[in-house]
Amino acid sequence: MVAAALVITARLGYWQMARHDDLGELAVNLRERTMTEYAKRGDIITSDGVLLATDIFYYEVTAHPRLIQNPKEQAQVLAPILNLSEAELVEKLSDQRQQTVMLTLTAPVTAGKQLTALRNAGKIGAIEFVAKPQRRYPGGSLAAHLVGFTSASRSGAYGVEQYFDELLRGRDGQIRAEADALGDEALPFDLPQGSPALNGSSLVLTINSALQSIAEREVARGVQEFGARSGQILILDPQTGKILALASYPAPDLNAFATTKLDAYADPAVSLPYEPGSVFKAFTLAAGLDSGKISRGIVLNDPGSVVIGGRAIYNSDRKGYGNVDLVAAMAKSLNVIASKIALATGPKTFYQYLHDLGFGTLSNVDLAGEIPGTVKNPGDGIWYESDLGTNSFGQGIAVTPLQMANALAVIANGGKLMRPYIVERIIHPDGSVEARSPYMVRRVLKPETAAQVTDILSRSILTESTNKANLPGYTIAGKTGTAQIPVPGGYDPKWTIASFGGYLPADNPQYVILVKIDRPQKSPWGSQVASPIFAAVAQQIAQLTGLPPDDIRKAMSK
Amino acid sequence: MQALPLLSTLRFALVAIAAFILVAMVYLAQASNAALIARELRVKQLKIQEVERENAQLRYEIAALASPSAIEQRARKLGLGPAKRVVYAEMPWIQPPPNELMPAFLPDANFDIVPQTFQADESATLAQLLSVLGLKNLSAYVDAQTK
Repeated sequence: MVAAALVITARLGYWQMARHDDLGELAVNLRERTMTEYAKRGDIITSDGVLLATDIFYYEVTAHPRLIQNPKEQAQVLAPILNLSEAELVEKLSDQRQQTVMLTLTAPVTAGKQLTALRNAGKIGAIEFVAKPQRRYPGGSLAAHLVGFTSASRSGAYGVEQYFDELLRGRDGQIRAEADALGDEALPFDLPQGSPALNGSSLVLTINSALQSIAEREVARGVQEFGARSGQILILDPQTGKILALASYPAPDLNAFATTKLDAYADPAVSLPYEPGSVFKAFTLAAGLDSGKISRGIVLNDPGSVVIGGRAIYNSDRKGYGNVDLVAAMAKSLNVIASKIALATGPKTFYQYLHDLGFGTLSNVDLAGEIPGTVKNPGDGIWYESDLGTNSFGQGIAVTPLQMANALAVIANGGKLMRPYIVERIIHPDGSVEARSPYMVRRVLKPETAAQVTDILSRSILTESTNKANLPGYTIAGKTGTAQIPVPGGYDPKWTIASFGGYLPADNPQYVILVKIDRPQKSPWGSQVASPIFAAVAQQIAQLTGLPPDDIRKAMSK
Repeated sequence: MQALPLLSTLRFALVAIAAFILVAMVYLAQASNAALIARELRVKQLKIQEVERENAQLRYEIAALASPSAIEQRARKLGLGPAKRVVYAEMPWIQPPPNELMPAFLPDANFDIVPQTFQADESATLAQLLSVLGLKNLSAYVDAQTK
C-alpha cells in the first residue's frame, strides 16, 4: 500500500511539477489559436475624392467533409449564401477522401454574417471561414498606369502601388485568442493577446478625376480616329509640378491583372522613351536665347540645308526659306534654323541646358519604373558633332513623355524646373496627414527668356495655318512634333510619333498638356494628329475649370 | 469550565470560514464580472470589425457606381450630351467661391466657344441671358417688371 502510494505520489509530482510547463502550454494550445489579422491596405484617392483603389474583404470558406454528418442539408443552407450550386456543394461536402476542401475564396463580406448566425444556431458545422482582404479598383481602368496594382501576394506592382508599397501595405497582426476545435474564434471568452493589425496609409493623388477622364477619353478617341497603335496625354500644373492627369491608351483593367500581360501595366509616360522630334526645338530656342547666343529679334538665313560634323541636315520638306525670324522658324519647324541655333549656342552650353531641363536624368517622380532616357554628351565617346544638329530638332535623343511635359513646364512657369509629383497627401492610420509640397529642383531659364519663348511659340501657332491646336478665345503656346522612330540601322520608313506640347493660357500658364500619338495611320503629322487632340483637351479643361477666355479674364482682372 | 475555550475556538473557526467564503465570493464575482466585460468587449470588437468590412464593401460599390465612366454612361443613357454653345457672362454682383465655378462634367466636346461680354447692369444681363436661352418673351416680361 505504502509503495503504491509512493508511486502514485511520485507520478503526480512528475506530472504536476516536472512537466508543468509543457503540459500547461499544450492545454493552452488546445483552446487557443494564433490567428493572422489581416491589415487593410491603404486607399488611393484622387484629389477630388474619387476612390481609385481600396481593399474589400472576402471570406475563404473551407469544409472538413469527414466531420460532416449531413452534407445534403448543409449544402442546401450554404448554396445561396456562397452562390454555389447545391449539387457542387453536396459533392464537395461528401468527399470523405479529403480532410479539407475549399468551397470558395470569394464569399462576399455579407456571407460571413450569415455563416456566423448559422453556426451559432447549430445549422452548419465543420465549416471554417476566414476574412481576407483583396485589392479592388472601382474605376476599372481609370488612371490604370499611374495606380498600378497589388498582386495576389499583396505586393504592389507598377505605379504608386509599387512606389508606395511599404506605406500602403501596413502590417498584418498576429493575435492569440480562445477558439473552437476548428480554429474559429467561435466563443470570444476573453480579449485576444498579441499584436493587432496595423492598417496601411492612404494616398491622396494630385490627379483630378474629371481631367483624367477627359485625357483618357481624348487619347482613346485620338488613337482610334487616326488608326494609331497607342497614345499618351499628360496634364501638368507648371507652377507646382503636380501631375493633374496622366492617360495612356490602351489601358488595362486593374481588376483583371491575373489575366493581363504584365507589360500592359508599365507606364509609357515614365518607362517608354521616344525621340521627341520638333517639340524639342522649343528647348533649343530657349537655350539659345537664355545663353545670349541669339537674340529675340534675330533673323537667320535658311538655305535649305546645313552641314554639321560632315553631315547635311535638311528641313523636313527639303526646301529653303531664306531669311526667317524666330517665329517663322518655329511656325515652319525648320530643322536648319534649329541646327544653326544649336551651333551658335555651342555644344557645351547646349547640352548643359538639356541636362538642366531634366533630360537624361530621372525626374524623381513618385512613380515606379521611371527611366532617365538617353542624351549623348560631348566627350562620351558615342557623341559626334553631327549629333548637335540632329539633337537640336529632337532626333537622336530619347526622352520620356513626363520629361517633355516637365521641361515645357519650365518655359511655362518662368524658368523653374519643378519636381513632378503624383501624391499630394499621405493619410496615416492614426489620422495624421502628411502634406507634400512642390519642390523646385533648380532655376534653368531667366524669366525674360521664358516669356520670350512663350511669345514666340504662341505667335508661331497663330501663323501656322495647318496647325489645329488653336483654341478660339484663348492664347496658347506650344510646338508640334513629327518624329521618326529609330529601328536597327536607321529610322522606320513608314511610321512616326505625332505629338504636340503646349500650355494655356499663354500669359499665365496653368495647364501644360502633352499629346503623343504613336504610329498614326491616317496622317503622320503632329499638326494634323496631335494638335486637334490638344485643342479638344484644352477646351474641355477650360470649361470644366471655369477658365474664362482671355478677353473676359483680362476684363475681370482690371 | 473547559467548554468556554472550545466555544471560543469554534466561533473563531466559523468566523474565519465565513470571512474566507466572503472573500472567495467577492473574488469570484469580480472575476466573473471581468470575464463578462471582456467577452462583451470582444463581441463588440468583432462587431466593429464586421461593420468596418461591410463599410469597405459599400464604399467600393458606391465608388464603382460613381466612377466617371459609370456617370458618363448613365448621362448618355439619359440623353445628356456636350454643350453646344458656351456663353460667358459678367455678373459682378455674384461672387461664387472658386470651387463652385466648375460646371458639370462634360463627356464630349466638339463645339466652339463663343465669348460674349455682357454689360454689368443686372436687368440687362438677365434679359440677355434669357434671350440667349430662347426665352425672349420672358425677357420682355422681366424688362416690364424692372422698369
